[in-house]
Amino acid sequence: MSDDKRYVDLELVGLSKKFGSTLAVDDVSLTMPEGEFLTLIGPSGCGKTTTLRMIAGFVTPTSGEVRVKGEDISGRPPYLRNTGMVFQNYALFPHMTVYENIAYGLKIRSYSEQTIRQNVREALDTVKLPGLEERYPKQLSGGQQQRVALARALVIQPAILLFDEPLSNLDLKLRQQMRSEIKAIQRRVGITTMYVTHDQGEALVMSDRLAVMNKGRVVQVGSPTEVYEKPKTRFVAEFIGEANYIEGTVLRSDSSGVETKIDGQVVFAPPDTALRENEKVGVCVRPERIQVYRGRESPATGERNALRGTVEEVVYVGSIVRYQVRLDRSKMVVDRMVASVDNLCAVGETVVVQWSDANTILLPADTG
Amino acid sequence: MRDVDRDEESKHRSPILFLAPAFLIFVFFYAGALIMLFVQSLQTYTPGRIVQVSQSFSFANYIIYWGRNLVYYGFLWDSLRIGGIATVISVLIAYPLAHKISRTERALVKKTLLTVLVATFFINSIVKVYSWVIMQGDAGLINEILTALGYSKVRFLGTDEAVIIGLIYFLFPIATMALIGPIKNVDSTLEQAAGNLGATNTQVFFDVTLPLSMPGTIAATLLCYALAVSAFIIPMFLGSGIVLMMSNIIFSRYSESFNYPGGAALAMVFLATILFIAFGINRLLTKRLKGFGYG
Repeated sequence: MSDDKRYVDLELVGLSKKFGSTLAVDDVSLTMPEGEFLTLIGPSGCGKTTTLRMIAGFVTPTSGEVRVKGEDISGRPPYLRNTGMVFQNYALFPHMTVYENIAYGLKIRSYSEQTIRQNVREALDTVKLPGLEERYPKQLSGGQQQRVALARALVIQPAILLFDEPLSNLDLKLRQQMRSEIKAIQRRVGITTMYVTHDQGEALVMSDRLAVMNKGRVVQVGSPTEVYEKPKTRFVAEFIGEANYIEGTVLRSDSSGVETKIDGQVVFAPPDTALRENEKVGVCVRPERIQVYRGRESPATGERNALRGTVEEVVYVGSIVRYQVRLDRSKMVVDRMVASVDNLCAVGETVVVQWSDANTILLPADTG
Repeated sequence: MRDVDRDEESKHRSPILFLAPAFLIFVFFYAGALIMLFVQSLQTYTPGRIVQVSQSFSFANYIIYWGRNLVYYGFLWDSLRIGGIATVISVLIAYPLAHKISRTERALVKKTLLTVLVATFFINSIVKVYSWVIMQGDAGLINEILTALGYSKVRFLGTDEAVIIGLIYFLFPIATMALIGPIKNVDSTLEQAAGNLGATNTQVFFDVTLPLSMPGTIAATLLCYALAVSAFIIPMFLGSGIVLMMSNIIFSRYSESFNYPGGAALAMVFLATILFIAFGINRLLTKRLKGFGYG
């Protein structure tokens, strides 16, 4: 963090927005170094789009500042902010051709006809759409429209590139393809980018860092690995990826680790000096980090977390199989790769679920 | 694809029964009346007789009014000109207001403006016109103010300006109502996108909002124009018999000289002219908009 020598491109300082009496965005502060790809992710209504729109200038903040390269731009109208936005519905001008759409921002900036022509061509090359200049948006597929929107935003060489759920109108295959393409273009151009989505897959694949939002607040900021491996709250654990969350009590906590009790069985976790004996705690394990062994006894793998349960449900999804295992009062979801379809557990079968200490995530108890 | 379209179509096809009233009204009151009017225009006018019984049909009336002298072309031109000026000004005034109503996020502002607009429709047109006579009359409010300020009185009634102002007063709320829909249909994210690309509010308006609302704006303009050129009460009162529009001339043929065939001949040519203008504008428009993907 502090050893990052890059310039700070975008800074949000205590940004808040009230709509009537509801606080849509609540004291959001973020710092983005030059060239970073940061994703604002959260459920609908969490304030991520409002935050983005405050950066673009479509929404006036109730309090706080938006700084671009150190300069507060919160008082400026959208047209003086030099941000490039890609809208969810692409917002291409239907009465203009692809060429005119991309050229629009340059024309406004009074560039010469020749410069415009050259820049538009380069932008179309960047998004791999050469030769479609004379088409109208209506004559393009969703994916092509998406690319034109991206070219139009890039061609004005904005200080910040903003994306508002740009892929949500595309089908799955195209979405996955566009993910990596947008990411590749962003890396090549090296532009500081803020991306808003509610799709955790998109967020994990594309971002340098994620800012997870809930109820107007940023609840955690970190790299995809940090956020996935070390979620700070139950909300983050369950929103980014999937999580088994079971509440328990701390039995013992010292430098060698934490021992907790859930549902009458003991679970071990890495050391956490903040936890005290008898404290309530949320125990969290990712479904794919859990092994399943048939029968009543676990093999001697050296992993101490071994809970006995019964298979309640088996969902076969091709590459993986998802078991729902009933412990005593609680349940656990376990994902296993399917190595052989002949070796799946059956409903009602007694099993042992097992995982390593390192894969136990301890969270504050009972946080939404 | 084609099957899907066909499904959509059949779902939206309303039973013939529901269309019947509109169809009947159109046939009897518009097409029927128009044919009768045309027949009437071909009959011979006998002074002193209201019901014409002649069995011979000729274009004599057309020749009398449109072939022998140019005076009626003058009235026709006045109608088209005065109506045109009033329409253009009304639409120009109405557009910003309609834009405000379509785009405001404050419910109270929107409700108030709409209520005021709708309220104007409920005021009887005779009352509206008399209120203007009182305003513009020789001893009217405007002249009172002018005298109080030390200026000499101005004669309003009986001038083109008085009729134009009266027409604007009548057309402006209609134009506003007709424009709200087309402006609302312009996706506001397109305006934001233009702003994001660096366009000032004025540029956004002329590059995005106006061109995209153009089809609806032209439709609203045509509607106002049709109402303006065929206006009757406003030129009758505010024109004071000096400014005469086609409706007034036709009315005098019917009600003063009881020359029904003559009035019909005037009306037919007037109607044909307006239809020709409307058709021309429409034609020009569809050609220009096809390229945008509207067609």
